[in-house]
Amino acid sequence: MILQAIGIGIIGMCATFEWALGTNLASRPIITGVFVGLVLGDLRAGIVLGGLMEMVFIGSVTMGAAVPPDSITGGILGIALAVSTGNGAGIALLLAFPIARLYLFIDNFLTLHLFPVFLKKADRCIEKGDFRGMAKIHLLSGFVIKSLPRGIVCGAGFYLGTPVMRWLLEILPAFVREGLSVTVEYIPALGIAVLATMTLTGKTAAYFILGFALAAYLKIPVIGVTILAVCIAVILVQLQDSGQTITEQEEDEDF
Amino acid sequence: MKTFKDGSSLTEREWRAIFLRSLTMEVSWNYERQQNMGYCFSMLPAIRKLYEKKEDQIQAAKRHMEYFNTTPYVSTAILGISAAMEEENAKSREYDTSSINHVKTALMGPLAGIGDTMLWGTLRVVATGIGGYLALKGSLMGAVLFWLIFNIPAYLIRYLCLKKGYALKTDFLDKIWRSGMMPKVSFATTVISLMVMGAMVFYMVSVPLAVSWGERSCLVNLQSILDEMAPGFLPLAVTLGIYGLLRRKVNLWQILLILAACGIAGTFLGIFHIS
Repeated sequence: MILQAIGIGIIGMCATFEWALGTNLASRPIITGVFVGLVLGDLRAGIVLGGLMEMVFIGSVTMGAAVPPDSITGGILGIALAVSTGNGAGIALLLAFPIARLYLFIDNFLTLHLFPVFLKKADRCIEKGDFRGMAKIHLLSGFVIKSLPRGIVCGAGFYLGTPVMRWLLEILPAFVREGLSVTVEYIPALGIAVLATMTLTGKTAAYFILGFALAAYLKIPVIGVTILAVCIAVILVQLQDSGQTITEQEEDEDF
Repeated sequence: MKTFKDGSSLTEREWRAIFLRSLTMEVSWNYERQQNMGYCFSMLPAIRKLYEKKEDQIQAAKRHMEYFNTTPYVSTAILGISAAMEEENAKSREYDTSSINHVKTALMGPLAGIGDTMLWGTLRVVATGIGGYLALKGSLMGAVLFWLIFNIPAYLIRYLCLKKGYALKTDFLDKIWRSGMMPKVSFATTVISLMVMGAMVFYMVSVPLAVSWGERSCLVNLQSILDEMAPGFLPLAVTLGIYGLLRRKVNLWQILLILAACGIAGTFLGIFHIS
């Protein structure tokens, strides 16, 4: 148990360090789920729950200025608690979101109050011409402020959270547990809906429905729909270019 | 005043160093100046090569400790431009150094707009659509494909942007703008991400109905009727319902509770059933 908790903590710490490796999304739940599954000895469960958490947190990316809930800790802890308790996916799912919100407070606190110390030090290094020192602070600050706290929260959260989860699973009546399992089945809709709020409008609804219909009625897999989508997008852009097309006339009518 | 090294223009060695260092762009993100340390860190190989005097190096490094923020994958475009401008500054004695930061500030907003929609808004959605579907089925390929589909283009774009930024200099965004490419790209990315999202509704959302009527001999199962007549109708309805709630500014947290409550109530009433 303690070893597993340390393992989960290390995952939390390393995943966060993707920010030093090209922001390559290795901290997204779909990836961390694989490692959590490996550490807890149930790879398949880790993969499935990783996919599920990815869908829950799909809208949580830093776009523009807003800082989203922390999908790293929320994802890892949610997956870990669900895998370790076996049938606790529903509860873990509900817990992942408040965890992510809660960690946002910790992250904000650290970044707001502790980070300026590093920044000042870096400024002083530059002033002195100590470029190597600045580079060290640059990497160290990310580790101390971002990686380490996430690792600690993931490890400790898993260690303390597992008994709580077991207890919850025991006291909750069967229909609540089953009901939460049903919720898990349609929870990806939440992630898709969050994404949809960014681009889906009355004008663009046809593309959304088209993608859905290709999948639902023609049973074209996601890769196939993606290929078709790219082709359709290119064709539409070419049509717009040629100037005297149906799409343009349609758009003109809209205005 | 300024002295130059032999052949003080940047070589492949510096480009490689800048590219590798730019990978750390987000690691020291902070509220005051955001990616400033990552930017300065990435510029250092160029600064070291271009300026011989320590004071000149320090002045240049200080410039790049100012506020900076953009989508990390395309940040290299601005790094390339900055490197080109520093190079000019190192060669000419009457260069207006304040223009270096002005250009940075002018470019980072529009570039973030493009970068965010293309990489986070579209490429990531496609990666999640393909990888997530496989992951939900329990396949390790899900995570692998997700990572590859996103990162092969992401790292490539990062590298190409550096070269393009240096070659086009301040014309970079101007050229993109004048070519009329931007509205096309944003339209194309909208089409692609929406179609993939539509497909994701069918493949990733399921509403496990249990309602059936009649005797065993002529059992009417609602789920199988729906599957035949209107496949994926319930997942689509649920998704659009949540979309409607989000549009009405209902809190994400409240929606999550509503969804859980529906699941529990539906199971209690025997509408839903997990096989």
